[in-house]
Amino acid sequence: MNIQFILNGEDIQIVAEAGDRLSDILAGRHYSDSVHQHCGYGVCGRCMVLMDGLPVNSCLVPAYEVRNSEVISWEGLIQTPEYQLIEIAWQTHKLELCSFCRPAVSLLMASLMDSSSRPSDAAIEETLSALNCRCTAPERLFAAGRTVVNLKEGRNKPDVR
Amino acid sequence: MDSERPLPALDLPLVSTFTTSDLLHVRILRSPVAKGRIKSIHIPHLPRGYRSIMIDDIPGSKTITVFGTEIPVLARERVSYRGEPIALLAGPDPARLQEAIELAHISLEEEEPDFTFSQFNSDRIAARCEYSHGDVELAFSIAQSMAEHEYHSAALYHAAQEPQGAVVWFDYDKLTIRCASQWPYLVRSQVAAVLDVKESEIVIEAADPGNHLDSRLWYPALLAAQAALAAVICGRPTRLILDRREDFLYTTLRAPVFSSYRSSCDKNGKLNAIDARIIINCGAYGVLAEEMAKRALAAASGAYSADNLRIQCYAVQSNLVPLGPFAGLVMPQILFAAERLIDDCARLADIEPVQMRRLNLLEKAAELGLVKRKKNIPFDELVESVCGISDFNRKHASFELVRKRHSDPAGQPGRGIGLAFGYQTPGGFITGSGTAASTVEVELTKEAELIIRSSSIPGTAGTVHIWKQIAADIIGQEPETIHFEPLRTGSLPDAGPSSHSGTITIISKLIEEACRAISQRRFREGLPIKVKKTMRPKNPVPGGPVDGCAWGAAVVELSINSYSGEPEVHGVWLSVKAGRILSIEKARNTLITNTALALSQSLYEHIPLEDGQIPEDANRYYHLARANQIPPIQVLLADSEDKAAIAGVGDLPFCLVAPALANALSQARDTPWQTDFASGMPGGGYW
Repeated sequence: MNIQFILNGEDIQIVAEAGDRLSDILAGRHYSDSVHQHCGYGVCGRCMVLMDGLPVNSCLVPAYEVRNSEVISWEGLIQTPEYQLIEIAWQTHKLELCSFCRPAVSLLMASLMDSSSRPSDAAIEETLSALNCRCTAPERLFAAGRTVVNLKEGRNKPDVR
Repeated sequence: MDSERPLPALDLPLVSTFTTSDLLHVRILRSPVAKGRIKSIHIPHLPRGYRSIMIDDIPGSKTITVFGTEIPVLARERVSYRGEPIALLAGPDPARLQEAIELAHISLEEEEPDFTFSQFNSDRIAARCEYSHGDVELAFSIAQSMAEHEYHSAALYHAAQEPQGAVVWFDYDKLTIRCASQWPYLVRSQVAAVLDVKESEIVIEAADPGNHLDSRLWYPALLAAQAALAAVICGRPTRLILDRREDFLYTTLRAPVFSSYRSSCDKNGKLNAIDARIIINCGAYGVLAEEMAKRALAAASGAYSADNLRIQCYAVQSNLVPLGPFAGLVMPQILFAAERLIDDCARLADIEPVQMRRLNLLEKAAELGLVKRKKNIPFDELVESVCGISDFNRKHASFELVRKRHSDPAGQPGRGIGLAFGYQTPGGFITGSGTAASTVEVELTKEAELIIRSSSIPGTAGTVHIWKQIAADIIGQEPETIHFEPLRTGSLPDAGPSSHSGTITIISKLIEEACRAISQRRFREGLPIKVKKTMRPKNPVPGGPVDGCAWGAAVVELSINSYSGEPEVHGVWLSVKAGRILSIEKARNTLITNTALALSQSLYEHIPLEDGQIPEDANRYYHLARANQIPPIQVLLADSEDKAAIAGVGDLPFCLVAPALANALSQARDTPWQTDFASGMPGGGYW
């Protein structure tokens, strides 16, 4: 089947098999190096992307569902001004993430910034727990999430040049 | 030591992102049975461009050698565990390879496998060691009572971020291999032996290992050898990356341990005699058997001793996957048993757990097995601080009151608080040979840049930051002028195996010594100045509570959910003394992160067994704790001692959390908790 979608601002047209998942397209066809096909059933969170603004495990998304959607992977996110805020939050809390967790955590934090209302602490913790990150202390991860939300709202706004 | 600079990123490539146009994928045809003799192998006809590779295609050594143990690259006549590699299939389309694997047929004469290890024949012993002082039998014969205890530690999966694998490509006259190994020079030597080429013709490029928990100690050498074999035979670059299921089922797991103790103590709680029998399941081939047995021997009674002591340690082979490497290398399993023993003895003697530990603490200058101590154990300092922040004494006394008075004998008191005290030994291997020596080279260039060359895998960006800061402080330069040479074998000296937490103690010391030497020569000699420092493993390096250990005490408080019956942890407190601390920030973060992992392992990560084996779909039910399932963790770090040795702290939570949790569970359930996992009841499917 022919599928058309937007990936990181670019129009993509592909031919997919019925059983293909979004992760097969992004990782299997080398559209994204940050999407990893590790568990294949939505547990590890390392195939995370933003689909129409929401974080999804791309291994659970059938390819046909991507039709006419906008998908943002980490490669697209790092081009945005929001990513600078995420980096500032990481540096503030000295978050040490490996190359596998870094993209997924960034995308989850970006989704927190995109929330229409200010996410509660519980919502921040729930969102950031979507990834099985074993790199850092949970309290630091949550603190960085709260900082990102604050930065987005202009509170404690740092000097971003 | 701490600075306000943001941490740099650990900039290592990933194995899975490597790609090239003519890449061949490699899949492994595995044994369907755990023990047997291969009669025939039938592989379906493969289309042009595809190739099967059998043991007779190997030009050099048919085995890799790890810590003196030989492991077949591909099985020839016999298989020793389910999933053992028998053949390789290489080709451009992974789906077609998978199809061929499913159509392949291996005819085997199946034999009765050995999975259990609490009972074993002498031919299964891979390593054995013993120690005794006093007369245990005489002490038991005159003791008023003797108690028997059994403890079990389960196998655990490392759950590293990326499944294991290797990619291989040709770079002019060299064969380059990218893999996430903790010991790149081991990979190089083993691949060279298998291909029968010079080591200089092989280059290993280190990839990001993630939080590996020691799963990358030797196994990448096997996968790299298989991938390199396929590349050389097919004449094209190859990629052999396991999927998560294969990674779970067929790579190394933590070694399960069965410990049985007999003990007796006087009415004051002083232990008269301990008789310990510790059995470690090494899985197939018995890799690291001697190392684990010696560590277990020195640690069998924890931080305690008795007038009469006998310890027997056995590392036995079985028909499970090769088992062993995990953070702390068998120490967490052994210290779990020792800390449960002291708590059970306290309960039998009706003595407070703190008092029981204090009474039986290993004395200064005491000798126990391989252990020789000169300094006192910082017991009072650590236990008092952790009991203070957790309010342990008051809570324990009140929960104990509830436990003793609860009216329904079939019911449970429902609340518990547990204490554990233990240590992490300095880095290095006990049984390391000359090849395991660690070398670091530091060069101050003409441009006054400091280049550090070491094949050590730092693990995290924070470790790199610490090493740069050590050099910067000694040389008197900004950390920005200090660089690490890219992690590739050839130009770098062999730093030996990088362990989960021990590496920092060795490499930090070598960098420090090299930088001091440069600092002394700097204004007397012209640039460049190059200094190389090597540390060879002492033989034998004590594996017990020696001077230079990091010490810690932990408290876990929990209650039993009255609806689900599962334990709910309310808080974890740690107090740690680790000699000279290079970065308080980093040490604290490491302790909290690893405490979260240790809790996850104890609460959720239990591998269920069917007929002694891991079920084929077990990875789907292997639950890792989510970040929001982790309770508050509080860490007290004793002040850094500037003149003390550098000690790693990363393994401490794995040694302390499980016994503290099991001690709390014993109180909450009013029954001695025998396993280091909290789910299910003892007797239900442990190893």
